Amino acid sequence: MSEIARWTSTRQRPSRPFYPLVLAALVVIAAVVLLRLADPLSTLMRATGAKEAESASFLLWQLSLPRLLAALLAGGAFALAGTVFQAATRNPLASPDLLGVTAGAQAGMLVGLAVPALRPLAGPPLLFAFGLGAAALALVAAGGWRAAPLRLLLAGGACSLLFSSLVTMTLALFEQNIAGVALWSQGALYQPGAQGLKTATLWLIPPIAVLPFLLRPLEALALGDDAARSIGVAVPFTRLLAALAAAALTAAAVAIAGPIGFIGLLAPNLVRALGLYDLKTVAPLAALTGAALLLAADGAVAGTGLSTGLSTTVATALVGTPLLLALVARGRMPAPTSRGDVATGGRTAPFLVVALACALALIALCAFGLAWGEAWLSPARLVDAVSGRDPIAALILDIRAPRIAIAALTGAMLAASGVVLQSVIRNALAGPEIIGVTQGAALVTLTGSLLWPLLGRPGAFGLALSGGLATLGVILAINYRQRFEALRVALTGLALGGLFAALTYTLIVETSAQPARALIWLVGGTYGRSWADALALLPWFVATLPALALLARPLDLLALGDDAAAGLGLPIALIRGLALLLATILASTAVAIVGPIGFVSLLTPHLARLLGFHRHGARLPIAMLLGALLTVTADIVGRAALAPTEIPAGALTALIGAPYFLWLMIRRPATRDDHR
Amino acid sequence: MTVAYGHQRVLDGLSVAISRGGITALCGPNGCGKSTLLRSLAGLQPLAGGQVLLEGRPLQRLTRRERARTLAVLAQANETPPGLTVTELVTHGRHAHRHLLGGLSAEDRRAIADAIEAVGLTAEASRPVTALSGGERQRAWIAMALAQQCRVLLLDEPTTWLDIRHQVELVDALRVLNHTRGITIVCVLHDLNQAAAIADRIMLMKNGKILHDGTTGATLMPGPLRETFGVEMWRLDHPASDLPVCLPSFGPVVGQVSGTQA
Repeated sequence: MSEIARWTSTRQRPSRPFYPLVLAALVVIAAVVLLRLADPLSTLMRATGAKEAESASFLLWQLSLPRLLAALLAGGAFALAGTVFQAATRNPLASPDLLGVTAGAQAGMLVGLAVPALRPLAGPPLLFAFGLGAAALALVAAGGWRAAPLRLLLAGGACSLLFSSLVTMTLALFEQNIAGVALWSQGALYQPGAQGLKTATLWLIPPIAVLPFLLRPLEALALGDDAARSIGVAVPFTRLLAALAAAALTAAAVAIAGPIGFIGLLAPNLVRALGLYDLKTVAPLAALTGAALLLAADGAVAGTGLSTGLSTTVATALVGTPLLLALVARGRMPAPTSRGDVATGGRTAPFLVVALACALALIALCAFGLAWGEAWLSPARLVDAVSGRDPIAALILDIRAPRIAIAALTGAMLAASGVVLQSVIRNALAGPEIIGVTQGAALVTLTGSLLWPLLGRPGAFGLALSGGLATLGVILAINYRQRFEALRVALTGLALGGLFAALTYTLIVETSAQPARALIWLVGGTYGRSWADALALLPWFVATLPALALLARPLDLLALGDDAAAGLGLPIALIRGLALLLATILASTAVAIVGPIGFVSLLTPHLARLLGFHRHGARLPIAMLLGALLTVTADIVGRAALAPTEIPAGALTALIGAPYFLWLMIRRPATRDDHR
Repeated sequence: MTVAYGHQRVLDGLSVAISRGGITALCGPNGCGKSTLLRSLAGLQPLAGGQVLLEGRPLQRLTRRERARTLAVLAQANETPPGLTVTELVTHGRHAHRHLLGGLSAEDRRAIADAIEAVGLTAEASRPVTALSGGERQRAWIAMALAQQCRVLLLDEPTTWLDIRHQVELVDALRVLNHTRGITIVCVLHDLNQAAAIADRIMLMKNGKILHDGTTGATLMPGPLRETFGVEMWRLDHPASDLPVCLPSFGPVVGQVSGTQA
């Protein structure tokens, strides 16, 4: 039976009873509320004097209660937004900040801090304006009104990357306000007074009011666009409305609690993992679960007294991740139809022509990068430098050349990792960031460099690789019995990745004397990398090339579906395991040298596909060349654009790549395949 | 053999022998386990008990490649990756014959061209599979199975998405393949008349058990059919081929038919 058939057959079964979940969530909520309110309430009761009573009631009404309400509202809103986005895009991995709402809101926060004229608007109004603006941009890029789910996902992903790279870049450049924003980036439920909460809550009302009208059409969308249309659902309108409602929910929740979008990813998947699929059941239950989760997490933060460091995001991840992992491992989850790739037709240019053009462009770009900079090195001086007749030029070359070499290598490696993962997970949103490998490697490397400040290159390599491999090991161990089934692997990775990312941020805010430096590393960059780094990276790159060549054909077969591939004699579990291992090695070694550079691994595989290359034999090399091109460009521009200030390459890859990607999407309108 | 999904036993202690060189049709109501049986025969379904013997050897002992060279299986709904051409799809069928590296051998090319020709898609060979009609797409997938140069072909409802003409063409094509190449064919079919036209042996399944197993003439009778599907069926003879034709006795029709017969 195919995946689709299995999915539908579970749907035919009567729904599992959901009372245990409701009961558990209510118990959690009641317990936390009682625990949290017991103290201020008893103070209020025991208050003797009028002044004492006043301060106690202030404590209750202005601090404790708002914070509880904020947790409940934000958790519920994030969960609802996630549910709606996942239904509208038919992708269980879609998160509420899919359309770049969170990143946009963060930009709004920065603008509010930076532009004095906008101070009075800082807070909810500005967050809304920016968050919804980002969502609108993503919608327009996706083709607006009639956007197919996959285009929506990808355009949103690109927009989100664009905004968050802008934010991180600004943060890295203007260090002063960093601690405050970084703390807020973690999510903070501390509510100074009830007023801000009231404003944000008002914004929640319209999207929630729309929901009852949305759920039934959204449910029909699960059958596919054509089937939904044939039973009379206005598909484009439904999807647009759903996107707007979810974006509004997210914006409000972000304004209340900061970007804890992870809850929106987690809560609906938790409910579905229990075997509930009916959207009318899932939506309220997800909201309840999300509220309970956030409340419990926040309660833990406040209760343990660790409130400065252990932020709500971390606590959420700590509470939610094991839950989801347990459910994934217990194997209660039938696989829904997973969406493969962005399908864009169009004329295919011959592979050799494109590959050659990319390679030539890369060589030219590298040569240019060697020559250009604060000091222009003419070709003659370059020759002199190599032959040792121009020591100054040789010195400059020694700074520029390894950076370019590293940029090219890591770009290619991250791109290859992305292609492999997207094929194995069979989800267009996959990438080393999605399965948590990047976050795992980053966390371990950062921890190591904080513990041993003098850590050398080999040490960093070992740490990154062990972090990435350990993450992969956990993922594989949990999914071994299900033959590394694609969706489960992705969900496990997402859960782990969220946890690791949250821990990494905490680590930076908590321990680092120079948060900006750590943040720059988190964006990824090639600053100050030497030949030793390049030489350390090279063997990994060379060693993975034959493995990639060997895997190209099995990956093609895997695209036919599990049964078809197994029928053709492909050991699918083995191939999946090997491919995951390969992708992990590629991503972690790159992360060890340059930090988690974004965008490359997520979007270059789609760029290769948009250019018309579908077979892995062609898609892999093209994506790798494009990844190298992109990273080298980012390196050169970042070095020279605002000299002497450096813009981290990781921020620029998204800044350069995302607009190009969006432009390609707009230029190649949806084809017949897109609507499947 | 026994197959279970979780605690639910779909096939319980079933024993089946497929006749070599024949065409066997598996028929039965929805959810009776026929697709599961087919998947088990193909080695795609982990067994909770028992074993599958392929030409006398246990399926589990064969390497994947050996199995894929002997046995091809075609699922009911296939995912077609975008951009894949017919030739590329059929080339995938050579996976078990090829080395991990290296190009196609002359024999591979011959098998691919041969398979495409056998399903009549030579003119469409370089078109994307997603651009083909439903019938052509199904034939492209069958060509992939043929390129495996298998001796056993397992098909799950191969005609479901096709119009009458494509159904007839496919049935004919399968019979030709069976005759000329001696390929053993097992297919799950919903249309009893198609089963009668294609198969020399029919198994009627219900609730994970095989109720009736025999020639088309013996199984496609009102009694076994009533037992299997719970529906009153009429058995007629095809005016041209003398093959059995089964008609469900829709309410008003019953009176007329019985009237004329009486």
